[in-house]
Amino acid sequence: MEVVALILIAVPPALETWLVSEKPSHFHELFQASQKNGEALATPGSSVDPDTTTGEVTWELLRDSAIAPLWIDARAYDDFAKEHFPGALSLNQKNWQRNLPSVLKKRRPGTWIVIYCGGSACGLSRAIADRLRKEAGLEDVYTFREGWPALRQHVP
Amino acid sequence: MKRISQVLRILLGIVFIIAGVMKISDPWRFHENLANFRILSDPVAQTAAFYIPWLEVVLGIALIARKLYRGALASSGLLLSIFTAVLLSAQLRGLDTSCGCFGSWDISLGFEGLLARNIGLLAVTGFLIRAER
Repeated sequence: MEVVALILIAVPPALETWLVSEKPSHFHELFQASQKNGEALATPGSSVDPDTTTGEVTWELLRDSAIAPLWIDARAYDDFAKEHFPGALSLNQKNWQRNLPSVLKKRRPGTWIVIYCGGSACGLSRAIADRLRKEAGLEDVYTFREGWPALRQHVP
Repeated sequence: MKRISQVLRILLGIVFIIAGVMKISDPWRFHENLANFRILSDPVAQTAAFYIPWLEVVLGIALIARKLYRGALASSGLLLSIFTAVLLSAQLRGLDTSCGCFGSWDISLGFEGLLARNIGLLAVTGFLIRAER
């Protein structure tokens, strides 16, 4: 009976926490909110011209083409936990094995993956991008040129 | 013996409260940790991610206040046993994952560290159960 009572006591606060919790937001909602004149989202590659030599994209390029990528944060997990782009997934060299399944599960066919790290001089995003292309066999994998310092300015 | 039991009881209660509060502060991250164990379906993992932390807080308070004490000890032992079993299961399946029990603090502990911690807490719980008889 005591066990049952304890189990039941925990239910109301758990329910309340769930009701008030902020569900993980998605990037495409941000783009839709910033769409001009209700234009439909462009399909990947239709009007986008990423730097195919370096595999880099910029915010302006993504915004202008209304691309809603799957964002990957390649920084250390502690940095990711402090703040990250809404909806981004953490994937770095340390948690690669653990988090890759989540990335593969979340990515829909045809969706771009855009990886960011600490800044334009940071090589973590390029390393993760290389691994995703070679080990996971993914296409449409790009890095965000300016990194988190530039990207955080666009977080609402 | 009585003083030792008292100290261990309070410490165990504090540990449960801290563990619960850390997960309550970021339940969706705990949900991701649970999903990474690949045992629960997503709806069940979501439910567990929000419910388990509060159960831990309730158990911690019950242990410290010595209310519903025997039930709290039994529930604590059961919860810790389940956590340990899940951790062992993940290790046997070759999954590289942390339990997320203490939020980002868990990242620095490897499998051995997590297992040692859980076994230690189970031992404390066992001691308190025995002392209560």
